[in-house]
Amino acid sequence: MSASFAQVVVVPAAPLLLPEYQGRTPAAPEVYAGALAAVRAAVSVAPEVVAVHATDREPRSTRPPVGLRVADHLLAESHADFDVEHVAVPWDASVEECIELGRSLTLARGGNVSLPRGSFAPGDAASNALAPGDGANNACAPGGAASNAFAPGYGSKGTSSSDPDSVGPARTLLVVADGSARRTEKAPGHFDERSAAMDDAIVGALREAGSGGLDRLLDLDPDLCADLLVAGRAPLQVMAAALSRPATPGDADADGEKRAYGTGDGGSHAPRGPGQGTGCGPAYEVVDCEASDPFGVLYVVAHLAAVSP
Amino acid sequence: MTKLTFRLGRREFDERARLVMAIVNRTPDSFYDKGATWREEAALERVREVVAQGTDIVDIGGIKAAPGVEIGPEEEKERVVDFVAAVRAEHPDLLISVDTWRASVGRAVLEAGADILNDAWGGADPELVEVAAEFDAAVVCTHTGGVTPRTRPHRIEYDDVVSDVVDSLVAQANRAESVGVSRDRLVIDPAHDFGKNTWHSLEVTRRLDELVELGRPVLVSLSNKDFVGESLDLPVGDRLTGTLAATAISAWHGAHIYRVHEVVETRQVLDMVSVISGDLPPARTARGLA
Repeated sequence: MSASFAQVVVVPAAPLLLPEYQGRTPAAPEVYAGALAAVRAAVSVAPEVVAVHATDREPRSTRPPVGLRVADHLLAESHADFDVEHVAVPWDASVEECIELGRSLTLARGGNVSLPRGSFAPGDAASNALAPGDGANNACAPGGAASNAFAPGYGSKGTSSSDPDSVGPARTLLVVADGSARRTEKAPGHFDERSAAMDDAIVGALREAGSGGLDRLLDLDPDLCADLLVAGRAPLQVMAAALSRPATPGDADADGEKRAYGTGDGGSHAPRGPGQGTGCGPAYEVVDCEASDPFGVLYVVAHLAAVSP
Repeated sequence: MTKLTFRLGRREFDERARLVMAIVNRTPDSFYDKGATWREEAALERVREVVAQGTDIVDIGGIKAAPGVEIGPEEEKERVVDFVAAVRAEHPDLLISVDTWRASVGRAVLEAGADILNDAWGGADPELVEVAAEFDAAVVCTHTGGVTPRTRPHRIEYDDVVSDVVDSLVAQANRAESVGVSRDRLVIDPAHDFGKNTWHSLEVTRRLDELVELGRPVLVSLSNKDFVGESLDLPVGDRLTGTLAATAISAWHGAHIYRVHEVVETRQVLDMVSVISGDLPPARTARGLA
């Protein structure tokens, strides 16, 4: 079975990556360059993009979520021909909801994606994803981006099969997410000593994606992540679920034991059981994974590529 | 310019006022002075200095704005109440403001002789204005976007930051009036950097006239803030020139009160703007007139 997504890219959700917030010089040029390079590399070989991002935690405007805009901007700047579908996950979605959404993405080629509850409540900024006059509106021009993922059961623009192996352009999963915003005294959320371990877990999971590390993302505690201002917990968990290979009754790990979601650290919040996935296989190799925290916020730029079994 | 009369303490001002409010921190860790006036004697000396430099108001704060060690109301009172009394005793005509969001602290400092409650966290304690009304004190209403006191802005966005500022400040002022604060004792402050990124603070500065047009005295707190630092890529300590430029723009737009660290330089800028605008005659003119 081939992977549902040929390419996976994780980029930060920082507003300072957006053109409307650029000063005379960029605030984080290396982060931006790395993110753009990763997106460009992925999209050049897998131009059908599913962009997963979180809703804004404290929306005060009717602008689209920052994550959506970051995705659109990087894709536009890649100057590649692409087709994008946006999937916004509520920033506080439960692990179970993330898993459900992630699994649906693997089946969504031509099918439907049912978003978790409360995704786009009245007044939620995400519901007006492309407000007139907003810079993000022009961000997806190459390839004719799909703009509306904000309704349960939207139809994708791919083939009409629900088979992840169906014929069609190779897909990229673009995940807009970052870690704690409480890494230093000057960080947006001030220093919290728990942030280091949290961010180590996130970075470690991504760096060990080739050996099943992504499953450990499902063990991230939503409440702790909320405390630590981890903006990317929900998108990362959607990604982990989407990339976890479906289990078959005969699947077993090296010890001969059946594996399920979230088996990395034990104590998973995720449902476990037959048929929910194993996540243990080296379905992806890590092309690149860079972490930095220039402003006390963990930024990760990661590029994963599917490998043939 | 909108006609305006407002009162602070026993003094009355009009729309031409450009008042200096000198910052006096009773904190060990504020971002600019880093505890320089933490000791009471040093703080009293600072008050003497800024009075001599021509400040109109002192703004005394017991808690730094940035996140940090939690300071409870009793400790905050210990830091500021007796100090306010000491300042009042030494400077009977000086306008004294206290930077606090807590009603209990507000009551204590008004009893000690303060004139103004600078509610820098935008009505976080709704009882603060009730205390001000009880003492016929002035109140500074501020816009923070509703953030929790002592938090930094993190990815806050507004459709129109100035509209949000106006709506919030009008609502706060109306509520203060409804509980008995005199209309002419209500000051509004867009609160640069509070609940705002640099772009927001710049927008507020650029469009400050929209706040002035509300017909209430406008306070701006610009001094050495991050929006100045990010605009010029300069650290704290190198932001005076940028601060003064923002001060001049704010003065030209008609702001009335300037909360500052550097009194002398601010006074000169404000007087220069007042002279240019025709609100104040030049100090001495002989050129071409002799």
